[in-house]
Amino acid sequence: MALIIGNLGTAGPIRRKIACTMLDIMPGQLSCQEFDAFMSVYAEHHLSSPAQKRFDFHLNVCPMCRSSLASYMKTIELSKAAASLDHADGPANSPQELIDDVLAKIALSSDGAGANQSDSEDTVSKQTPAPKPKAD
Amino acid sequence: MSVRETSDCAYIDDLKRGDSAAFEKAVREHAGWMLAVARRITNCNEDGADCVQEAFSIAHQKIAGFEGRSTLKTWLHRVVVNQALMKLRKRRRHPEESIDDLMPDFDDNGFLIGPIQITDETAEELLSKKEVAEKVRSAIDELPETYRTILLLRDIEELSTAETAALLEIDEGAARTRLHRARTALKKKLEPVFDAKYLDDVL
Repeated sequence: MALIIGNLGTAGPIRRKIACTMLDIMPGQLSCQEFDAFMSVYAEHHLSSPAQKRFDFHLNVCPMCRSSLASYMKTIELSKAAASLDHADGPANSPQELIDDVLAKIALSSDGAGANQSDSEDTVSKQTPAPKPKAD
Repeated sequence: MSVRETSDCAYIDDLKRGDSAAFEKAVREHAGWMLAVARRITNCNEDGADCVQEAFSIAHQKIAGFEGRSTLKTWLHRVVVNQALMKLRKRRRHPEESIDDLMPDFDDNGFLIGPIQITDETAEELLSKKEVAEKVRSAIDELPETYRTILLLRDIEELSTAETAALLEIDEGAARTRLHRARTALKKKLEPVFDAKYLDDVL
C-alpha cells in the first residue's frame, strides 16, 4: 500500500487525503511537522536506524513531504554549487592590487616589529610559537 | 567549497622560517579564494579585502606556530572566516526581520500544505541559467544576517556544527536549529526556481 502511494508522484487533493488518512491510522508514525524537523538530521546522515525507518515510511506515504525533502536537499545543493561559481582558486584569481596591499601591510608591520628584536635569524626561529588562531 | 582537498604546502618550512618570498607565494596562491570567502560572509567587496589583509597579517605573525595538523589552506580558511565574522559583529545594526513567514505551513492536524513538483535538473544545470544563479545569490543575501551567516558557515564554507557553534558562541543544538530554519527559509525563497512548471513557463 505504502509503495503504491509512494509512486503516485505529486500531491493532488485526493492523494493528499489518502496520505493523511494512512498516517493518521498508523500508530507511531511521524507527522509532517515531525518529519520536517528530522530533515536536517537526515541531510547530515545522522538519523538513528529506528528514526530512519519512521522517516522512510513517512517519505513513502506522503507526497507533500517527498516534495518538501527534495526541495530541501536541492536548496543545500544549490547553495554549495552557487559558491563554487566564484572560481576563486589559484594565483590567477588573486587580484594583483590585493596582493600588493597585503604585502605592503606585512612589510610595514615587520619593520615595526624588527625594531624591538635582534636582527639575528637564529633568535627569530627560536621564538616561542605564537598561539594558534581561535578558529583552528 | 571544499577546503580539505589540497595537499600540504611544499614551501611550508620556508614560510615558518619567515622567508618573504615564500610568504609572497602563499599570498599569491591563496588571496583569491580568501577574498571570495570574506566577500560572501561580509557581503561587501571592501570589507572582504580588509579581512584578507587582516587574515594575512595574523597568518604572518602566527605561521611559525603552525603545526601542520590541517592543510595550510584549511588553516588560512579558518583565519579569514574568523576575521569576516568579527567584521560582521562590528557592524551589526538594526534588529533583524523575522523569517516566520518563510516557514512551512502545516494544517491543524500537522500535515504539510502546498507541495510543488520538483525539477529533475541538477544544481549545475539550474545554475547554468543566469537568472537562476542570480536568484540563488540574492536569496541567500536577503536572509536575515543570523540565518545567512549560519547557512554560509555550514553549507558553503562547510565548517562542522561544533566549529560553527564555537565561532558563533552558541551551543550545538541552537546551531542545528538555526541552520534548519535558515535552509527552510531559503528553500521557500528558491522554490520557484526548482518548480518544474515555473522553469518551463518562465525560463
